[in-house]
Amino acid sequence: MSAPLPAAQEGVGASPVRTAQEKRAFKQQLTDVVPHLRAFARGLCGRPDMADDLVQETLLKAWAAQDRFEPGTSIRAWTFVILRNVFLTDMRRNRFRGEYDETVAERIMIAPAGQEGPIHLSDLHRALLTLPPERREALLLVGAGGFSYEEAAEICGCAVGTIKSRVGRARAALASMIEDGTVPDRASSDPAAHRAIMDELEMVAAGNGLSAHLR
Amino acid sequence: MQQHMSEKRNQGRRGRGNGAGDQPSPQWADGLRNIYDSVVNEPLPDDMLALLASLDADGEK
Repeated sequence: MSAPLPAAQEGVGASPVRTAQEKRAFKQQLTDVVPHLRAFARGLCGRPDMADDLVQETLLKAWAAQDRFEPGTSIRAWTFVILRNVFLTDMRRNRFRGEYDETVAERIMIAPAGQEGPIHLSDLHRALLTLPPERREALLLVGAGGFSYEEAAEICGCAVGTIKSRVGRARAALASMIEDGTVPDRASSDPAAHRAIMDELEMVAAGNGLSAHLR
Repeated sequence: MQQHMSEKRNQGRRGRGNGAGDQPSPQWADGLRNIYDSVVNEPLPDDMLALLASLDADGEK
């Protein structure tokens, strides 16, 4: 029985080296999860080109760390941990912020029950991008990716209650933006929203935002 | 292969419903899933495929 070892002791007989067959199996799983990584990344950062850069970096890191993946566990959850860490690191370095690209969702609309007009998905996505990153990712994981609160908490390296609270706040913020019609314009570079995101990010970056697994 | 993919997908999504069950979800909540699913259903770009193909070229990368 080998318990998972902390990263510092890596290589001291941690995981057995993968056989060629295991590597092939891992690569297949990695390939299958790529569409989900792209969807998560697009939700986080809004711009397809940047999202795909995040995914590519994630794939390389995941491949390099494959010995640490436990077969039989969720590859989607495991790679999402890597992706969010890449995202948070990039954001911190580049002062990168979510910018929405209209091309994807522009023509897709959803009709809210018993309300005025239909909502464009592009509006919804833009509204999503104004949320602080940790609330945005929590809502993406649970509300879009279909993870349970428990799985989302695992991915984000925080308590289940924290995830529930983030999802609740994110939903409330989106609901009020949609109901009040205060979804930011497509060209908006609202400095207040930007500042809020960056402040929150500082907190995440300095503290507990990054999951311990693959820090 | 196709079957394999959809199996994976369902596994990944088993949590759906648990997460959203606590409160009535507004209609726009479907929009979040639509945004996600629309990207999942896109074909992979060529450079992504090239990167995947390169992963086992030297076995390590």
